[in-house]
Amino acid sequence: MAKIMIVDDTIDIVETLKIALQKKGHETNEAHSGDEFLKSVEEVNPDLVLLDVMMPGLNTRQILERLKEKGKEHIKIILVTVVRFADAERDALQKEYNIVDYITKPFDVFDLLQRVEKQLSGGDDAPSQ
Amino acid sequence: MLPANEEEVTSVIYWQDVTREVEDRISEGGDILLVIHNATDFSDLAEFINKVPFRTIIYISLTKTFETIQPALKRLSKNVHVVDCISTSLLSEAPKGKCTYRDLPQTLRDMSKIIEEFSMAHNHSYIFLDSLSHFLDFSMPEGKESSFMFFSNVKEAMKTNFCKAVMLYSVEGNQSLRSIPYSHVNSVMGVDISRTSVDWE
Repeated sequence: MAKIMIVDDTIDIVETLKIALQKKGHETNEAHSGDEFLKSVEEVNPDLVLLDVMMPGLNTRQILERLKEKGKEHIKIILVTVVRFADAERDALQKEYNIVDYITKPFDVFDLLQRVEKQLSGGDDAPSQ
Repeated sequence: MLPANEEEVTSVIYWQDVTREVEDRISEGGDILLVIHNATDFSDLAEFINKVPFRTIIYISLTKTFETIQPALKRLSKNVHVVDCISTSLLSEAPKGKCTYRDLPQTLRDMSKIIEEFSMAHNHSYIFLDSLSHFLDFSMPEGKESSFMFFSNVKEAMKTNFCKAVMLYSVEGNQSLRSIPYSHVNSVMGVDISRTSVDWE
């Protein structure tokens, strides 16, 4: 069992992921903005974070920088996003932060669960598309 | 009064299949054309963008970085200026693409200001917004009210600057569109993209 934080401002997505991850036996916590996530991340101390890219308030870079400042840069992050990146941009982000995978919306829940399990069991070096 | 477990039809949407006169329909689209589509990549929309009658297009992207759009731009017969509103919120190195970078707008008001700004700077152009689904959810009834001011502001800017707006709205599967703002946009068009794998021999 792992502790997974779901950070997304779309309630439907949070609920879907919560149910799916809990069925797999994981403990879930949720936050609906970057601020909310940063307030609780130290207390929750998650093994993995599913982070939406486009939320109101702090932008993704600000969230990831503040996570570093809190000394929590080792936490594995999976970006769950509608944003399409170029390979070079994904590589640059991966070098700078502990982003272990990118999942594009709309996503297949079973595929997402497989990729979460892969990261929890050690993962690999290159994020998949 | 209906029993609690029964449902009644509140709206019916009719779609007409247009395949040959697409260019005409786009031209007749008025100040704001709402395009419901299932494209995932910019290149999926290249054919549609090429059908737009004006030569200059301002493409405001909230979901695709300029780097991802750039390869497909070469396939377009139009002069497309990209406004990338996503890269600065993600990438720490200052992006260097030949486009305009802006911070991601937080509200519909911020969004309409960006549209106004670029329509003023580029008269007689088509302003694409990719994607309106970042701000509005037409499957929810409350979308109707929140969109009114936005569409009014955009319509005003389009009239003043002789531009036309194309609002892209992406849908997946049989997602409901019950609150499409018919009263605020002049025309609604659907673009249904089919993909199949091709064996090159």
